[in-house]
Amino acid sequence: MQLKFNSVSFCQNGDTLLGPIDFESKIRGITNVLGYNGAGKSLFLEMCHAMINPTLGCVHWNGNLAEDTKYSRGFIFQHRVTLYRSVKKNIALPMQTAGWNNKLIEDRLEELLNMAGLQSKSEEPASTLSGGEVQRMALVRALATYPKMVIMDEPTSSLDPSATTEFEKLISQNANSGIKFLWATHNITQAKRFADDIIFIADGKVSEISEAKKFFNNPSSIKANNYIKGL
Amino acid sequence: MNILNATFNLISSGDATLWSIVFLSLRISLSATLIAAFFAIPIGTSLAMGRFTGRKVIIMFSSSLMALPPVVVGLAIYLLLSRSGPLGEYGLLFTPTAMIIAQSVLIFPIILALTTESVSPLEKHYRRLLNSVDASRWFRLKILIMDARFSIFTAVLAGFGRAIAEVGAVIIVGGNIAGSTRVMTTTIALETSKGNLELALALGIILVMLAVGVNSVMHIFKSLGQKYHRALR
Repeated sequence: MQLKFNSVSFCQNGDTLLGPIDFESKIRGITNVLGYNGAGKSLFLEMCHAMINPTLGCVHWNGNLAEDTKYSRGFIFQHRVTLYRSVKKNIALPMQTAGWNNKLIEDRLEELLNMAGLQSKSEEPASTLSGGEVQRMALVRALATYPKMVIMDEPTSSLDPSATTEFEKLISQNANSGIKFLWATHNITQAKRFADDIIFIADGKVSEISEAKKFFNNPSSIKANNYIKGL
Repeated sequence: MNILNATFNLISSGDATLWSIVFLSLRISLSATLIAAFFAIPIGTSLAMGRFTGRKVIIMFSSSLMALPPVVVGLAIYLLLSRSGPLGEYGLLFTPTAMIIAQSVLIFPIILALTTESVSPLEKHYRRLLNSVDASRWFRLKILIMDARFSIFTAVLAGFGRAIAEVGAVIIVGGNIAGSTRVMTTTIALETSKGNLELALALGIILVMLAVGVNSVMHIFKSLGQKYHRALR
């Protein structure tokens, strides 16, 4: 999938928080978005999914405006973001907004609950799930309408190692089946294991886009080098 | 004691005049509540969802309309419906319809403001998620009303409570005509001034029972809603 940022900037109260960003890149497999805290990763991802409109410029996916192609992507938040409803109803949300009929929704729910290992908790309020379960629910919710791309904003940052492993397993399965992931993380080890490509963001700008191997072995900027070394 | 006995006899004997007044009051106030809720719930929810300049001013203005003096509303509706008014040709003045209009106008801001107030925190919580799944405006409206239904129902009951106990507006636009536009509150005012205390007291007791009943139901719904939300949050 071709992602294009066309002279994109985002300003708030007179400060430029992101941009100007100008790049075009093919997003394949798993692309990790890396950068220091406050670099603008979340803002970047939310713009990729048209959840925030740029102050200037526009974001395109495969030549179409990001806001016109939202249906073809899923999004996972860093923290617990759920409806005050049951697990089942939370997962059904994107299918309902896409206008699916109840029979289709029920059939797909079965598969998704199975995938997330949440069959036994389908009728329970989403608020009763553990952190790991919530993120697995968020992942299958994002996958519900068969999107081509899932954007994830540090989905494992608050999970324990075992919950992280379970979540990563699901990502691997789905990445193998052809779904693309644009995934912000702070976990370098995780990025080394999963990433095909890296987008490195520094000071509100895309500082580097390269293959993961090249990025970790020979980063092109001092900032990226320092980031990898944990400086 | 004689008055009290006569009052309870009036209530228990199923006096036709008394009960027709009670039913007319209920018909008018329930209709007004339904009409006001039909408009106020979606508008109040939309206000909670909206992100436009002047939104806060509109919310502030609609909240301040909760304190509208009923007689002023009655006067405004009277001028609108009177023969020389813009809607005079429909001949609605001194009919139950005029009273329904007056009560609807009076309680619309109450239901609107309480709906906006109860939906706003929910909307804030749901906004990013609904935005991420590309939910349409119509879908957002439905899901917010559905998930805030207990609080919204409490707002509707508050509107009904105000409507049924209201006297100033309905006496102006209804005219207090026996058998046609005489409702509980206006009858109490009239019969007390005539010295017919049995009927006034009987209606007063029924009105108080209704008010207490509505308030009790409101509290039940409020606590049910809190219980429901605690379980889900």
